[in-house]
Amino acid sequence: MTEEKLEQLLLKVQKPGRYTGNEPGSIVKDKSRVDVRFAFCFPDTYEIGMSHLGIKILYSQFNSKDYIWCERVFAPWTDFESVMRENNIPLFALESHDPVKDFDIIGFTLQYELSYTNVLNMLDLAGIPLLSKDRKGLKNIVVAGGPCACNPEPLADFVDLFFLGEGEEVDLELIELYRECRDNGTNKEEFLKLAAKIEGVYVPSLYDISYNDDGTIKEITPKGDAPKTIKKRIIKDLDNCFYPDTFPTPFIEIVHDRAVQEVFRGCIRGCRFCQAGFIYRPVREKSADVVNKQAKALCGSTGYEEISLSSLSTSDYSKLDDLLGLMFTWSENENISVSLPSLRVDNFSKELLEKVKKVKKSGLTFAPEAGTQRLRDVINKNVTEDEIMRTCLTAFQGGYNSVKLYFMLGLPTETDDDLRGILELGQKIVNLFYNMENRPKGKSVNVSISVSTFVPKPFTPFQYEPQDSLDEVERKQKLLIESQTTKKISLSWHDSKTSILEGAFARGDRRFCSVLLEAFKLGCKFDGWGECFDFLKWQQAFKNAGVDMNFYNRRKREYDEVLPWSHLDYAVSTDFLIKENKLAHGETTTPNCREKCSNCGAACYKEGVCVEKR
Amino acid sequence: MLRNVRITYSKQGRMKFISHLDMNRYMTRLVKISKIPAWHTEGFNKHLYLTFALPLSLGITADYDIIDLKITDDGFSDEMIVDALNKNASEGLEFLSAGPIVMKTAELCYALYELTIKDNDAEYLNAFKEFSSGKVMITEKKGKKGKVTLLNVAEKIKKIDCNIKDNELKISVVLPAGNTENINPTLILNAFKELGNREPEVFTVNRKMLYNASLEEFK
Repeated sequence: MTEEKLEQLLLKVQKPGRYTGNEPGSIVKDKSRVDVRFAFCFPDTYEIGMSHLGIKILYSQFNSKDYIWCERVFAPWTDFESVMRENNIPLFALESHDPVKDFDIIGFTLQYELSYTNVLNMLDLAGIPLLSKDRKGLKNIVVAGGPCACNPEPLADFVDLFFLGEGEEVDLELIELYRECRDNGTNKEEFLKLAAKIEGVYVPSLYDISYNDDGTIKEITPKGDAPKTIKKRIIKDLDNCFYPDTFPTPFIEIVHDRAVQEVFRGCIRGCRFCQAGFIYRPVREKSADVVNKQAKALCGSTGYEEISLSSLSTSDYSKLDDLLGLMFTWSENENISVSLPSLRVDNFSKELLEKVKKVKKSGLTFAPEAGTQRLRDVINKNVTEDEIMRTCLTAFQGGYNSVKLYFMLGLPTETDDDLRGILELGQKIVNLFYNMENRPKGKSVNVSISVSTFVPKPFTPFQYEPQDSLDEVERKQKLLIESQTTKKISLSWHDSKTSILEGAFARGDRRFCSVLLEAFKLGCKFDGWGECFDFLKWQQAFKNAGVDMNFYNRRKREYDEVLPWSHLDYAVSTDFLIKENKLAHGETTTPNCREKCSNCGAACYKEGVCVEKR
Repeated sequence: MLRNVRITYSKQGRMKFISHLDMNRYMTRLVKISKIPAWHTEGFNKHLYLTFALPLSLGITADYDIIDLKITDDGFSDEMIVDALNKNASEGLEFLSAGPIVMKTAELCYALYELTIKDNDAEYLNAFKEFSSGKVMITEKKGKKGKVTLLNVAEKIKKIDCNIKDNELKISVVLPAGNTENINPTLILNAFKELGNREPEVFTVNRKMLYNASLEEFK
């Protein structure tokens, strides 16, 4: 395929800028002078993948090593995929336009379960055998990491090894090992055995899974001297951890088209439904000074006029005031606006609102997650109705006349009253606006309520819980619509079928590999996209593979059941998760990490909030 | 004192896949990272003041394209602007000059395009050449509001010149360009296809120059 031919074909597809590379900040090296070529694959479109912070950090870090050339690969949209298949164009990397097949290591980041079919489709487009056992040599080692690697079993047959936890250190150790093994002529089997000795590397082929008659897992047995449990890796000192001072800045508009500055990892809250809140423990903050310097460097090198301070809950950053003070000394002069995502209702102040407003009047979004206090206590959201009302009042008095609220449906112990509570809360906020003495004349209020479907996830206290059935979810959605009292509330919800599929994969075991393969053969891809998702095909795939979705979605797990991820250690102990599960059923909350340590197990790293003075 | 500066540049290679809107955002960032002291609007939503003389359609390269800026620092010379931009420009983009604005954007009237048609079928190329020299090139043109009208492109052509050399047909054509009327040169290919002809193996368009009403170089 000549570049000229490719250019002719690109003119026939939507947004060719997705496939051309050459963006400012993208890194091109002389391939004859690099030792290891790493294809960093994001199994979704360019616009989604380029919005992801992790790829930017790791891309820059890998490329900071002279011997590695890391390039980006995204899933081609269906129009370009057809063109590629018709013209025998293999999947290529953005920087060099070289086929992915030429790369030594092919790494996927697993951000959501519904991207798994794209992993298979991308391997197929690259002309690389899907199954790990069919790839013999050391060329094209397929690796994966990211939050979904905490239950990697549905991909165990396809991926040679997984990275558990944060990648900055372990990825480089693995690449270094790869280089050694390749140069020494070590075979793949030996390489994988050696890789399994690196903390944070999980090689699924080194574990045998046996099952009980009832279908549950009997035992997970390591082969040879593979470790019995595999512990996730974390970065101990975020201040001194690699952070890019620049990254590729897309030509085309992407989802989060702004500079992104990380302020901390983990979350002190421990909301019981939230996987991120557990798997990223412990909370480790960067100092305000470091964040400020890194943010300034990023703005200077990318030219973005907006920077977002990113974390799981940015208003929980203990030095937020200091940081904003530092940043405003330069951001205003340089016409740069600072945005704060993930604000909480219980620590949202007038002062903070002033600061957010000063830079840009963006929308205000809060997540009470549940409609009644009882259910908020069950999920440990630790937010009271008073706090929600006070926050909305602050926002309204600050000139806002719309707020957006996120809720979940299908939470454990949920009753119809809890659901009605969502709209009652919305109505109270509408009333709050109209009862405000000095409300702006002639202005109406809009409360958007967005309701997603709860999906139980591994390593959360709700990992034992059944998920609502499709019928039940749909009944509850109907109930919500019927309870709507006013047009001032706009209600939106999630497609329930995708949540059911997500739920199955989240807690799926190794038997899901054949489901995935069947789904791929039936043409499933981009399952997170409404226009591509086809539930009928998925039902067929489960049937073909002989796997019952209900066994995974609908079943309550016993506390002593061997779970597909039981051999993986994310620092949070099973005892803690069981205790939290019991507290949830007792409608009892747990204080956040900063108030009191609840002995989750993350203190084993002796870092961050675990060793902070309280 | 604000200084109005007109900057010319060429846009080649993979840059042609970057649409006008995306170029707008890219240029804003480029001016920023090049640390050019350019004026920002002072309204509610402050942004860099930057205008393009004429949008370039996706897929078309240009030897001569134009943006205008207002420079806030007199000490920052035209040469410094060109150097700073070239230092940071992406591959495919080359800044050629910076200088005073001679003609108003509204005076822009025509553009010179070079169409390159490569094909191994000599008969096909001859037919295309014949067609390009003719008086009838009817195709559909989409208006701004999505209204489709029939257009005879030949009537709009100010000047045209065709040459075949080694499996390659080159068509140089001057077409209306600017605010009042803008004709996309790919319409010539569309009109040719309307007659039942297939697509050539390779078809590229390069915008070589911009003119005013008297066909003087637009400066």
